[in-house]
Amino acid sequence: MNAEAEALRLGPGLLLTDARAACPALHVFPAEPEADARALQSLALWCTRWSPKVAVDGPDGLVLDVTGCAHLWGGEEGLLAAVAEAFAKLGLEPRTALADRRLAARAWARFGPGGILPDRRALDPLPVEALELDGETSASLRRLGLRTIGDLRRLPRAALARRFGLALAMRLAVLEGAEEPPFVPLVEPTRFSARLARAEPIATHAGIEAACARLARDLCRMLERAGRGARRLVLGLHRVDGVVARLELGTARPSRDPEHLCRLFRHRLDGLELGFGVELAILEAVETVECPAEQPELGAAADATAIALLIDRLAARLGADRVLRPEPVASHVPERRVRWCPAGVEPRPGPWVASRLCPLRLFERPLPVRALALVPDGPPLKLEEPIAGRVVAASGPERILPEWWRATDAAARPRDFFRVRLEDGRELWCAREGLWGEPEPPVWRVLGSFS
Amino acid sequence: MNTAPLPADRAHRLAALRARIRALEGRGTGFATPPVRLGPGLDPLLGEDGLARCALHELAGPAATLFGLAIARAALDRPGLFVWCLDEAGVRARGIPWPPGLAARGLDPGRLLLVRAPDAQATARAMEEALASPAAAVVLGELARIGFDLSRRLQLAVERGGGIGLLLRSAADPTPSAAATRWWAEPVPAREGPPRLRLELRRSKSGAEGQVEVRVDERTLALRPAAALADPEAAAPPPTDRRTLARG
Repeated sequence: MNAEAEALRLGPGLLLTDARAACPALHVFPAEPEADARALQSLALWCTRWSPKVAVDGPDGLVLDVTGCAHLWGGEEGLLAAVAEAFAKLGLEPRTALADRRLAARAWARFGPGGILPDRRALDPLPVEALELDGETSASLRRLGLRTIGDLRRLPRAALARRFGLALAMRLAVLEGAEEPPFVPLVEPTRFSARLARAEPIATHAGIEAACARLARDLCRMLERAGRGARRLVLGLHRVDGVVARLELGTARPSRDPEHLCRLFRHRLDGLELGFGVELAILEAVETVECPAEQPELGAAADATAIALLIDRLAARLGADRVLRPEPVASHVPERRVRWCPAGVEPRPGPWVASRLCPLRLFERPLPVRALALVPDGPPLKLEEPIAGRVVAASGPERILPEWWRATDAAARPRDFFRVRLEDGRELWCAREGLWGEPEPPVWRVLGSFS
Repeated sequence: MNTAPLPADRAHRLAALRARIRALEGRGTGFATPPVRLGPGLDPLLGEDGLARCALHELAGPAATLFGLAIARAALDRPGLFVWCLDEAGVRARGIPWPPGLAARGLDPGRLLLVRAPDAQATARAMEEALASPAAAVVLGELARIGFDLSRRLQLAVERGGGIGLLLRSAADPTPSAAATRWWAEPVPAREGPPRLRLELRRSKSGAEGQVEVRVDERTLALRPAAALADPEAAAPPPTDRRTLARG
């Protein structure tokens, strides 16, 4: 509700016709609670500029833990002024309040004049609804003539708890200074974070890259002092128009090499929409691991670094699930013998059980094929459709049974694998699924290729 | 710095000068990278020079994968990753590389890094990235279409990285490219014995052209001249007994 609406006495619960009567020029939009929630969430991210601990509070509020942050804006007054100014730039007029308890701050913002809560007694004239009790309790308090927080404070606490439940007594205790349960911040604050604020927004990619380089340098210096390396990083770019772009990426090996980190982000910055510019950039190491200082060595270690760099760069471009390393799996079923691990996850080494009968490439979806074969278990003599050709040589069969202990294999049939060479020289890996004499006739499939 | 007198003939002088420039620029190791020797099977075509590293090679034809892996196996004699880049269309059409099959032929799957890109453009970008890295000894990429500009970019990348670039194409492509060599590989029908390939060098920077027929050793992927004695580990001859035939 902005000031103009308040002046016209518009508000929630009003009938549309009444609202139109009060203000004929009113534009009406249907409520979109989900879109509002999303907007509030992004606004919360935007608020991380003042404090790392921010959370969405109810459907229409944000809560910031500014402990130890206010001095950066010249004290609490300065902080509130900065908040008001920044929101005004976005065209928003929030009601802000600052108090030592969240409940008190909410009460002061919603039912009081807002600003810094001067002292706890100042809450006394506020209505009992400020205690955020359920509607029934508030209504019965009002019936008893207890209209303000001050009225409740004067009564013995034990009697109130007996009559109206523990919640009321606890809320009152919080206003007296008792501990509140902690809140879960939207983003976990990190120990390692570097920030760069610009009065003049950065609107070019070159500028962002330069900022990124500087942040990476600062962050890496911090990491080096702590003897740690980053595994996961988040770059938050706060745009002038209030949108916050969060770029997140991981590294294959813990790293504190600013150039490397910069290069990883450079790919991600490529297509980024900068709008009217970025006024604040924050680079955080969300996940770090112990990483002792190492001397640059020749040989194996240098190779390992180069490999990690390459994997990181590919993963940053394409996503970690597209840069893969194979891990052997103890299974006879060809489709299950390889697990492709995302890059950065070190595959478990193990023996590869292999023979000449293993093809070079495997079709992820076996290709059904019509074949002419000797009954009951001979190799195919001719493939007809969709791959056609006379078979000039075949090795096999290699019978592979389904893994019956798996639910997915319960109905699977045994397969006989053949390596067949066609008359044009192509070599394929074919399998007959099922046996003659079963109610279902066998099916031939091409599973892989040797050339 | 190397200040030895330059060799007299033009080709060697150019190569020596290039090596010096590389050393001045700080890339490469300062000495010429030894080429990949593909063995007696291809010596009639490539001679002592082998297949150049720091260069891009185009392989096309129905047996391009097998030939590419034979080159990769020979080029992996030095440390580094074997990066295989392909896109989803390639996985569907030709299948995904299968580590047990590679292991059976002496290629260590532990060195394989598979890049499964969503499309050809991403494959090309991933290839460029991998070629430019000193961590990759071999980069094998599957791209159906490639313009001259892209091939030039890949060539420049591989010069920075120092590995060998193999470009796998399913069909022949007459458009010019910056690749050092262009090959056509197709299987030779043979009733028995190890797979045989007909390798045709269609174009190369050194001017060599021609074709050879080789046998592929199934355990090492070594290429041997086809004329040599039959391999003892021959595939079983096709069954000759006349039993009931059935279509399935």
